Amino acid sequence: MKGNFFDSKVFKILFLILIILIVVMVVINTVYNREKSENSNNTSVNELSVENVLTAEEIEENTNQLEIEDLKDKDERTRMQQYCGKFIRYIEEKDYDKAYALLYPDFKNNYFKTVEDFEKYAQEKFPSSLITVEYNNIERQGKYYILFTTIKTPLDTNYSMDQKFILIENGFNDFQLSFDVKLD
Amino acid sequence: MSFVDTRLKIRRFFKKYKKIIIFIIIVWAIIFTVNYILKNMPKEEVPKTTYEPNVSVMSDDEVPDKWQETIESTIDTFVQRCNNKDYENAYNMLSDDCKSEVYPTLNSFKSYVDNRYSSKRAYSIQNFSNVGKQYIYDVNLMDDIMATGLTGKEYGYLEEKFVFTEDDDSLKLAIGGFVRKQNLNVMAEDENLKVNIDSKDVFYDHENYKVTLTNRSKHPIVIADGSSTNEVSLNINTDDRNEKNVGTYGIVLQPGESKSYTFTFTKYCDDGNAPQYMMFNAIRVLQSYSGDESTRQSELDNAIRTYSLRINFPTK
Repeated sequence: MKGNFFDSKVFKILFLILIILIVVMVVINTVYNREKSENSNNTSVNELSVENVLTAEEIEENTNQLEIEDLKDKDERTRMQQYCGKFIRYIEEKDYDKAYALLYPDFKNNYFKTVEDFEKYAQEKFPSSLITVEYNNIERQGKYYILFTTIKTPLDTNYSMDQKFILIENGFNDFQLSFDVKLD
Repeated sequence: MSFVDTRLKIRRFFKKYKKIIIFIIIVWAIIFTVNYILKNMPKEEVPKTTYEPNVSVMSDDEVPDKWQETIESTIDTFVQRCNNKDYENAYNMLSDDCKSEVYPTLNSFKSYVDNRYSSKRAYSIQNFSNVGKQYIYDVNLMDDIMATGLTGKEYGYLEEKFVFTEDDDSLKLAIGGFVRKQNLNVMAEDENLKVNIDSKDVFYDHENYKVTLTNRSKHPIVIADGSSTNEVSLNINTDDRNEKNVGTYGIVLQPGESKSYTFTFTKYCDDGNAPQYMMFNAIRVLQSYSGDESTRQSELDNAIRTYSLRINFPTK
């Protein structure tokens, strides 16, 4: 009788389930801890080894990771302003490919079929350097954020352009935007 | 009881219930482990927003979880069908009452779609108010602002109320603010007038009553001619609401004549008040009626009777 319970099917199944769960628990714990330590190492190591060791892709990935970490404790308004600022920064740095990549596909299709079209427009309408953005108002309509801004530059006090930006945020640092194109 | 006895008792207890104790320990260990695993599963962090589409702006209560996805996907499907001018399939998504009372024909629905969806629309939703098992959403329709970037346009949107009604284990969709149809079958009569209030259509911000009036006398009866604003009114417990349109067309019944009208009163379906009664405040039984403004006062002076009539609604 004594051995019966330990030999029974129920006991064996329960014991097997328990062992499997413990193994899963250990695996999750190990992976989680490793990721955690890798993340914390990344930020400190990167600063030391940026010079020669990292490739451009790795730098970009790390920058993206840092931006994500920075965005995590920001409120909606600040995040939208940072996204908008990122787009403007690309224009300011004449990195039109990157700015173009942030545009919403249908918007690109409507107004800027190629990156060259966009580059031409940006050069024509935006200041060539030192672009400042004044955020006048922000409205949210469901998943859409509408930012009402004024574009200025300290280099030309006569220059001022009201500019609306529409953004959708899919995740941290993962967004798409469009803006009102000045057709004249 | 000696220490040895106690020890023996405990030992016997454990011996006797060994299987159960081991079983409980294993089950507890499984629960503990599952809980640990679930707690430590890597979670995808999503940006925090203040947008809560399924929490009512009027009362802070939330639409039941089991309906949220259904509601969101239903609205999405409906808007996409309207965008694609898929009239028939969009029309078939509406509840029978909404179809019969608001869009009685497919053509009337087509007009609505062509008017509202004149270009491709984007939308946003927000649960506005919940009344019992009816969930009222604000659906804001706007141009596809991501595709246009608001180029050459001002920011704006068309607001419409979509109402979802829980019926058994499904949801019925109504648009245009239509909430429900309610049969009333209320009748009142005196020696001059017979009033039948057949039914009412409840919309989010107003109610339409279908009323049939019959002149039972041998004299013309004026019920409304726009001479005052409260010729027909609705009491909703807290105050009286005047009928919105009757003054513009007037109601005159010749002897034996019967006419049907739709009376519209402002009333919000989530105000917590139930209509108590309808009032006809200026029923005028006249010797004669010409409809001529110049003889109106003299006809009124010779009225056989001027009185008011109150029609109570049954209390639940």
